[in-house]
Amino acid sequence: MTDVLIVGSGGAGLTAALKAREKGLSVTVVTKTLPTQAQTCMAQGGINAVINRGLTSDDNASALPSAGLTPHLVTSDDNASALPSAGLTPHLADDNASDTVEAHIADTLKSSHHLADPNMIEQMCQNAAKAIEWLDSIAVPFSRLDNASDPLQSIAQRRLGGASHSRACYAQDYTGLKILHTLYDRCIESGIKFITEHYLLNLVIYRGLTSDDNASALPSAGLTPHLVTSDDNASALPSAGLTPHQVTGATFWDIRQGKVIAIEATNTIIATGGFGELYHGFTTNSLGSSGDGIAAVLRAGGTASDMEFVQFHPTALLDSAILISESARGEGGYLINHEGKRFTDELAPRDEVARAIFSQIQAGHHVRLDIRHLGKEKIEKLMPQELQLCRLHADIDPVKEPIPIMPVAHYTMGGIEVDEEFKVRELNSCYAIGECANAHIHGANRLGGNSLLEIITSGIQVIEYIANRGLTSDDNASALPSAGLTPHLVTSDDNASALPSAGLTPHTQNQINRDDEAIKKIFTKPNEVNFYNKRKTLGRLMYRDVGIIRQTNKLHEAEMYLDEIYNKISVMGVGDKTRESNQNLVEFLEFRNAILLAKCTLKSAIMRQESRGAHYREDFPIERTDWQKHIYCRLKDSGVDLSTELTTVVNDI
Amino acid sequence: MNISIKRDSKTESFKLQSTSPITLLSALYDIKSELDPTLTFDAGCKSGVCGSCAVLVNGKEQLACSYKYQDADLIEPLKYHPVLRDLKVDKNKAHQTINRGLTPKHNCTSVKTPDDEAKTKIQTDCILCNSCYSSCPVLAVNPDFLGPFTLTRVWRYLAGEGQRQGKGQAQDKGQAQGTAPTGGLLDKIQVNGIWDCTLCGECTVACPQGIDPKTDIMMLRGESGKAGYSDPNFGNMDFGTPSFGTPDFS
Repeated sequence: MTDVLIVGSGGAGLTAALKAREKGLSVTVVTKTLPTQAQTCMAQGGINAVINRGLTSDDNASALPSAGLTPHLVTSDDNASALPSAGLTPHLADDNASDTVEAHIADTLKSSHHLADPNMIEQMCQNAAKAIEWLDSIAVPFSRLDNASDPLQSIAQRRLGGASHSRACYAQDYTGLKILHTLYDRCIESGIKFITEHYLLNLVIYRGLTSDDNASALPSAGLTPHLVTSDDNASALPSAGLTPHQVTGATFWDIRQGKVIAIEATNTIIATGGFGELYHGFTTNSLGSSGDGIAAVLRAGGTASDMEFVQFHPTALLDSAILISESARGEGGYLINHEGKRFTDELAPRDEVARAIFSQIQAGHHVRLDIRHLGKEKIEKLMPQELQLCRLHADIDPVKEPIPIMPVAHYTMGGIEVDEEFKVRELNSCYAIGECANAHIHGANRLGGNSLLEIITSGIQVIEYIANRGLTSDDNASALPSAGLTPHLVTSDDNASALPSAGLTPHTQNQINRDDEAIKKIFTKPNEVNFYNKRKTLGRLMYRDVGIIRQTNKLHEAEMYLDEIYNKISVMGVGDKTRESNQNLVEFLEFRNAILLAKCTLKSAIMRQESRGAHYREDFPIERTDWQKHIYCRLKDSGVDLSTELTTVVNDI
Repeated sequence: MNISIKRDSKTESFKLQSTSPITLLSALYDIKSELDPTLTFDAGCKSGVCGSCAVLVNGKEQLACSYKYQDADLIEPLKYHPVLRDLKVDKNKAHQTINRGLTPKHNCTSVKTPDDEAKTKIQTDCILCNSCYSSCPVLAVNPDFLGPFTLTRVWRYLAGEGQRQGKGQAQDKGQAQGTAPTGGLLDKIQVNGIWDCTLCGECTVACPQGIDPKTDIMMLRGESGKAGYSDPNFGNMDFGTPSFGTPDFS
């Protein structure tokens, strides 16, 4: 039994792990790969924070060498004496100096298209400076300005799309990589326990009844939710008004050993990332972004929301879908069509630029990004990484030729429906943070630089909430009347959590057995349809019909194809029958999760008959006030159940 | 085009359909989906930053996602890593060198100025792909060697803090107790660390991120010298040659 089980080792997971450790809680971090291979390493642009005025005046005073001076008022004399070379960058300093937390909130709200919760945004923006301060304190090597100011004030910031100020703190164009690796180093030093190469199967749930009675009614039973019959499942539906379910850990596939294990925990935090991989071949995301945590929550009776909102990045390399950073346009690059003519404002918000490009592509034209006029010297200095990627993946020298590009899936705004304390709505002792969660921060469109900020602030906050609730919360007590089954009363023993079969509670053992059965079935079922081909088909289908521009007929057509793929899962299997280190099996399990989430995205996209942020319907091009609400996806007997509720948030900007 | 892949003790050849040059990673997935679903390897971001897909191509470390394969290429798993299956290796032991190299809860300070940033900019580009570890010949004779990426990480933190910690503690402890100096981060890299490196520079050649662990190790040697540590090989007057039973008077 561990106090905190964290599934996923990206920025959100590792932040939570460090903070839990600081609070003296025992922590176990589980990842399906190795800790630094998470999607976080791919974030380039930066992490938003108002660092000049984000602190209270008290904080500022103590942080400054000479009390009473606000940072942007430091006189040049002071600077000169402290610096060998007086290299101030006044325009940046000025821009930063006029930035406010209020402006950050307003930018984020605007980008969300009235679909985010202003309180959640405010909380994140208010905590931003503290988050940067913390990252600085653990030695994240941010890029620095030569302003000899206190540590926080010297962090360099750049302007990203949709931001009113230069607000994104960065570490060259490796911001996510350097944050992630620094977090990892601190985790190692703190002795945090990592369990690597373990793939999340299901949450372990205690439901208050005797677990044996209840076992057959679990929607999480097995790994094939569409096979659960409606009769069995009826009592387990979250909407039925039952006492919320208690999560007591999770089951995993030990990839190396080839067996199912369980880890029991008082609190479980899901930090498994987004589901961009369902746009396979048309996404900047890592192959592992298959939404495993979201799928597990759905199977456990939880809810996913806002699943129709997928952000597309305007410029990825054609075919390989490798990201070409926004900085190429920021520096003055043009988007040109087949006639070599510009057709859109290159610096409009991401969703608008992506749509303009996609319209050209739909009309059968190639779109290219032309940066030749910037000159060889500038390109080599400002975009060395891009230059290299273009040469390698597109066989193109951007100095001499325009770069063929396409917009591709980049970030999933929707995810596990959580409350304001990041607790999964229907499940107790279970939390979700980062891209896998829908904490109602990004709404219909995410602002650049806010995703790294979200993973750090929510990672810090979620541990505060868990610590405040205490390890023996009232919720737990009421949900678990029988003392013998109360997991939080079991003596905490770090080692016990790693032992799969030692002293597990019966309902945990039941879940292991069910998952074991399900995996056995996968090994023995017919493998008539090659799921790797279907993975490609799914990616193309989702990109073409459930992508940047959506339309009723196309969506229904896509639904037909998707159902066809979905129904063929029963004859898809694995060609590799070895239990140990079976990549084939893990990729099949990931594919099944991606299919499930594709259904959520597709059904939600059909239902939302309006256009809002990243969701654009050609046949309903207007944003409508009566659609200012969320679509919730839950798992029913044979598919994905949708329900809509009016959002409680009605905000005017 | 054909590529050969080392699987266990034998080498298997695969014929690839693709006419246009594609990355090795795409080729591996083509093989996996069309020819042999049991072919096993690691992959992630596809764009050279997650560090999961490093393999040997014709004896040289390459990220599969960032290398375009050529006819008759021989693909092998990384060296000095236990092979789990085909091209998939066990990286845990290599990664545990970080545990050994970093000081628990040392009070790290971050970069403060553009100068500081420049000092550790390249070192912090590390993606932990383990290419340098695979290229290091010291590991062939000393499996406990800390290895290039961990030593670069240690230098990253020391360079970032201006070496204050190492020096101060080394002098205090060494002088006060008259024993071997111990100095925070520096202390952890003396045994199976900086002095075991042969400065051959293979790690620098292997790094896909342009990191130069060899130079970082030389910097660490310099700092260790200033802090009162010495090359044990120099102390024994054996200059790295094997000991032939020199009496131990300690």
